[in-house]
Amino acid sequence: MNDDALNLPLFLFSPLAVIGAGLLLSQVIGVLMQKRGLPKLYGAVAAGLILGVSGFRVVDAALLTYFQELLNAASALVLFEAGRKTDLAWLWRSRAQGASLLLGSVLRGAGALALLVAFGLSWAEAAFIASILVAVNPVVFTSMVADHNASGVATYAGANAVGLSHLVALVALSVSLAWLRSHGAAGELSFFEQLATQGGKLLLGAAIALLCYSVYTVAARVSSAQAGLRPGILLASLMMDLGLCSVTSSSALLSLLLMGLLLRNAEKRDNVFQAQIRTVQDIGYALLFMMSAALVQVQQVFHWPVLLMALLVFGARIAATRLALVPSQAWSARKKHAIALSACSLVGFSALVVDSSISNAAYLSEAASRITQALLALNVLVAPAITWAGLRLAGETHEGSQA
Amino acid sequence: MTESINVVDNAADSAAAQARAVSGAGPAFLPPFAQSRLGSMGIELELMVLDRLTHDLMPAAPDILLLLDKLDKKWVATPEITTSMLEVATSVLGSFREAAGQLEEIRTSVQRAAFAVGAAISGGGAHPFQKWNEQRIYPKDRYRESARKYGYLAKMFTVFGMHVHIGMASADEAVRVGAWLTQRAPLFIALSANSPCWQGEDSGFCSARSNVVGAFPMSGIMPPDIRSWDEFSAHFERLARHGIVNSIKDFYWDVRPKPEYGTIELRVLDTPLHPAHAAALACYARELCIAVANEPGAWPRDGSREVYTWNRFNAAKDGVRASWIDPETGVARPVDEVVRADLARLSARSLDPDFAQACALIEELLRDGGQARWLTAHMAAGAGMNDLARAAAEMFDAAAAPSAPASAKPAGGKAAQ
Repeated sequence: MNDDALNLPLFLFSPLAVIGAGLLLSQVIGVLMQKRGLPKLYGAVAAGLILGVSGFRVVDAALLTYFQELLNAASALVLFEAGRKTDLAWLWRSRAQGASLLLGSVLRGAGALALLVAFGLSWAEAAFIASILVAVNPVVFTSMVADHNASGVATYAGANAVGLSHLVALVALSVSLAWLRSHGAAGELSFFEQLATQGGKLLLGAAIALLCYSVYTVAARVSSAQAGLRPGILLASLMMDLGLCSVTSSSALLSLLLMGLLLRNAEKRDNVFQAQIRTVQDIGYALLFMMSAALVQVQQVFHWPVLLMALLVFGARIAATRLALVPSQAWSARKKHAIALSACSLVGFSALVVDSSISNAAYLSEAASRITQALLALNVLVAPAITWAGLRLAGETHEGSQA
Repeated sequence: MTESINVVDNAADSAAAQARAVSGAGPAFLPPFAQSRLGSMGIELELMVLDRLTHDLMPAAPDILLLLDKLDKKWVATPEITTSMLEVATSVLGSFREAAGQLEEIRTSVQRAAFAVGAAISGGGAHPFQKWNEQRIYPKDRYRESARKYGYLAKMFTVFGMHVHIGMASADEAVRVGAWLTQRAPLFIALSANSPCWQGEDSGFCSARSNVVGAFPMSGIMPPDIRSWDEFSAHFERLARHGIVNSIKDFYWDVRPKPEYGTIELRVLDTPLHPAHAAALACYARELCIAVANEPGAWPRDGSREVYTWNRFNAAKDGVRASWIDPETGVARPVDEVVRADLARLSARSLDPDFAQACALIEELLRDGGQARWLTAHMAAGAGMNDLARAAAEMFDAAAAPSAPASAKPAGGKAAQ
């Protein structure tokens, strides 16, 4: 250890203390921003920029590996929340509205695929990235909704778009990943063998979700647990689900999403605690801080050709979502604009998604990696603001109602 | 008339003057009492707009109204003071069959429009766990004016009532029949009581909503010494001179005349959990008014506020298990006994061939402690506040049975299982 290291404050050697300090800074900056009428969530972004790889480099990807299990659990809870807010009965029976949101997912992927191929990426790489770009980021959306106490039809549609987009993205991803891996330099397995592997992970994740949900249901009924006592049983079931997914290398993402979906759609009596799970808001801050710290390299953003491509893809996703909403008659034009804007955020496959099967980006070329990194940076920097603008445009934020 | 009170000559000008007075943009105005047929009837229901997941209030009324505006219909849907409230009003009705039919049409239309945008609709007088400070004032001048005038009370007024209009042959009769209907208004509070929870707590009342209205300065009842339309007009003018009222809507009385419609308006009811009960209760009020109108010149012997207030309190507290002091005899009797006696008396003289169906529905409201107890049975079985709101929404969703929406009623202790 050299003299410089010895001069550093002791707490910097504790990853936990560093993350704690980062979250504290997030809160302080967030509150200051809120006082100026700006989204509090940007406190996490700003703290990440200051302490992360774009700033003092106190927090980076290597440090975050200390917390991988914790991050997985946190992300899983966010995904559970996304599933819990997906109303399958409404998506199915509302017809035009449900179809619009589904079409939005498909068009986001198709639009991104076309653009990425036009930018010179191979079909396999483009399909892989486009599959991920189908999904709307639950951290950004849910945290912004919670922060601004947003409620209304656009918020409801947005929440359903998050869950639905993840389901579509996962299916698309299993195919595109199989394609990418079977065509990679180290590809030992054929496309169909890869597809079976990826599909198997999804199926196993779904089976674990069913098992854990059954355990939860039986436990709640055997104990005749009253409404207020059921959250504890649920939390235990979620932990079981995560653990089983971890040891079987199955899709924890799908599993947790399905747990949320089952809870939301299969057993209506449990809605009593559905309103009480508010921890996701705080988890969202932590995840966004870490995304900002580890993923955003401001230098990359100023690489103009790549930035331009990323901006085009980002804008095309919003346009695709808006286009898909045209057939629906239930929302006014203003609400449709708002839904498209508030569903603008995207997910990253290495930091956010709790799924070992899709965390490996080693198969991407340098060009593809640069575009995805620029997209993720843009996502952290501008998606919260656009989501906020969308919710305000809908008139569904609490402060918006006082305007 | 004083300078502060507007005077107009024709109906169009009258409507415009009334609108200006209501919005606070014009001088005080009391329209002339319109011509109306005795016993004609109109029903207004204030409905909850709920989130389909949490069953908390959802500010989606403007979006639902946009869809309802596209329908070709006899009835109307309008905004209310906060964006989680939706008001529907029937056309002029003449019988129970008409009322039940139109309310069922309203129920299905509103439910369908709400579902399209991802919301649910519920009856009930008060949402069990909404927080008043989270409610949003509807973006309309009249409501913004109310919010300025009443402060937090405007948001506290996120409660859901049913109003019944009954046509009166003349303005003077509206004042006289209104005085009789006022005496019996607590019976309607008891029958409709279905708001046992308030701000997330069991209030101990069957109708917590009834207590909210009392916070407004012009709540209560019409002064019992007013015995003609001229006396009422003079009363209005006096209050308008002081700047206390600007239109008839500033009177939050339990029963008030509604001159522009030529009706008296009964305003004490919690919105029933199912619209079929609303039709039945409206017909009960209508038959009471017709019976009084057929005894010209008779006035209540005791119009004292004290007895009325006591009856009102008891009805809100204990619902159909309350007792009611008959102001004419001074004798306290159980509400259910009084209601059954009324229904028997009115059935004998009613010209509505379907009034018996209305009586059957009211009989249902008297069973098992009434609607409030149906809801608290869910809580006793372990349900939380969200579940309570969900149960109420599911009762609204149930299609009306030919005679009674029995399917909408929960099976007691098994409600939350």
